[in-house]
Amino acid sequence: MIKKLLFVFLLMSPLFAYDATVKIVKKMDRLPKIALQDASKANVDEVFRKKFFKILVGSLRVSTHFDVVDEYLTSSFKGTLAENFLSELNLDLILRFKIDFEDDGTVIAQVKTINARNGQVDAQKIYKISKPNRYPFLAHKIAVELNQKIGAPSIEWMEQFVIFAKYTDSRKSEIVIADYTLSFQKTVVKGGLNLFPKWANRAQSAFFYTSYNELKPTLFKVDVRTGKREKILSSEGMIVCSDVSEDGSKILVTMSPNDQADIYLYDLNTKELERVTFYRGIDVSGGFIDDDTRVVFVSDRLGYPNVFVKKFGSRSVEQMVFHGRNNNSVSAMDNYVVYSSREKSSEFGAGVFNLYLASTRTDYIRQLTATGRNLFPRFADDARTIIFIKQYQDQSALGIIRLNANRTYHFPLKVGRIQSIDW
Amino acid sequence: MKLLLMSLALAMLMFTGCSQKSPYVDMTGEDTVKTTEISADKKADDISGMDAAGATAATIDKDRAVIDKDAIANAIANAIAALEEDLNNIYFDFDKYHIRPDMESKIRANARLLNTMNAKDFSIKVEGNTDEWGSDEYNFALGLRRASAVKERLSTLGVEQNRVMIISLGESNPAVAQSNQDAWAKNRRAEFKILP
Repeated sequence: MIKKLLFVFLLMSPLFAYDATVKIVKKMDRLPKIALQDASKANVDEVFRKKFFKILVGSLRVSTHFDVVDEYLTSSFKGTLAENFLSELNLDLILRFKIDFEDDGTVIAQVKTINARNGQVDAQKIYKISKPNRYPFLAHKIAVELNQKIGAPSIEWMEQFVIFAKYTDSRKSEIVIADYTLSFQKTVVKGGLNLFPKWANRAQSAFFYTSYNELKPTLFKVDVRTGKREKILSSEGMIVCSDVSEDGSKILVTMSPNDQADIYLYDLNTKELERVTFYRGIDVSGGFIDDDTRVVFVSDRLGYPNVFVKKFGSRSVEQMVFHGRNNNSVSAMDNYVVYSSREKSSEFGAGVFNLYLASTRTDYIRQLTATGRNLFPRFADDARTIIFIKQYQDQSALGIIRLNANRTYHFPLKVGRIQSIDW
Repeated sequence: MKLLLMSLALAMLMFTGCSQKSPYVDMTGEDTVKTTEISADKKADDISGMDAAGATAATIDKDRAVIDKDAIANAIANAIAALEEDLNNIYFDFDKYHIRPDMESKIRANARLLNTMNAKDFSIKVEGNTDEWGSDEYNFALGLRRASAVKERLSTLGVEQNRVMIISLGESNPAVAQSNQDAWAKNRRAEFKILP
């Protein structure tokens, strides 16, 4: 009898083992499924509630760490048994929010997260933002904290401000501060031609930009809170701030005091200007890499634009990218660079500009986009997320690439065309 | 330099037959004389009236100065507009900044014009432009190289380098706003602006 039982057990054991393996793989692969419920009172503007819902759903999806249900659901804030399980959706989590406004316009979001497996409230928190038009940041904050709660890699970049210049007409452009979805937008520089905005520090308390409204192109620094503008440098031809050092004390500037574009290092404290590149051609888009000891830049020294690197203080220049015949718009973060590459020599083909990610230390290279005109890539703070400009005929969108999940999202700009971007 | 420009402008006023401008100057002169007479009459019997009339006269004098200045400014603006109209744009190939052979005659004509009596006291701004392909620093540097190539060629054709300043506008200043081959070809250009 024992022998028979042992035989049956041995016969079945591979089946048990097989099932267990499948279960483990499934558990590792599956994202927590989440639905959102709007529990706001009926007297709260429905359009606003739905916009808030849409942004929150969007942020959770862009995190790539949740399987998000798109359906707009309502519930009571306390929640009934049915509302706490939503059994038909087979959820892991429910995020319930209740929007209110204070008399001074402050937006309040009371948020409950519910474990939909047992119907119990996991956490409850109140979020507030005093400037009502900045409510998208309230939604991003809720997404960031929920993401943190499930132990997923940080998505704090969602709380950063994006700054961009957009063309409004020929020789006219404005500089706008926005959230990454462009749901919040505030124009901070207007009138004339204003280009290449660049955050001056990690705290995003100031930014640089180039004004074409002076006799010569002029680089200004603007304090975001006070609006106070300080002239930094000017140059005939062109001037652009392409990168800011880690501590915010030095900037890399492309300028052309001698009628040719070269990269210069400018110390904001000592006001010393040091020429970094000396090639009689095009050297642009300087970026600090390797703890601010080297500079990566775009040059046409091989007869076509490509990415090069040099150490500060050294004369020698190394080619960094050995792929493509038209690589430009490079941006650096830690040991990685991202650049835009024109795929065909013809100017009329479709799908001409793609983004590539390359290591500064190995031969690693990865194609990030497949079609269209993908320009001006910039890393987020964490080097796992890239923002870029997707250009259409006469319109543009802000693109977000989530590198780990290999996903790309687009947020169209309704009016104007994006010239350059930073975050 | 300013004196030179003013005298040039006045000379242009006389030689270009700008018939509407001269009567303005004469009429202003008559008005001032009349006002001064009124002012003298008033002085006899009304002190406050004199002050008032004096103020009017001063205002009119100031107006005359403004009108004179305007006339000079207009003359300079007209001269600049005439020169700019006659200067040729220089067009470039895609992603290139060398002067094409078919643009050689155009740039020679520009150099000749810029060295004429009417133009040689003005400075020149060469604006480098690109098509819409690319939207970053490289495009601006490309526009700069185009403007720089034009400046260098003008120099070899006798236009003094210190008269010429260059600026790149990248893709921000399209001549044609459409998105097709013809528009892109027209947008890859160097334009000339005359500076007073």
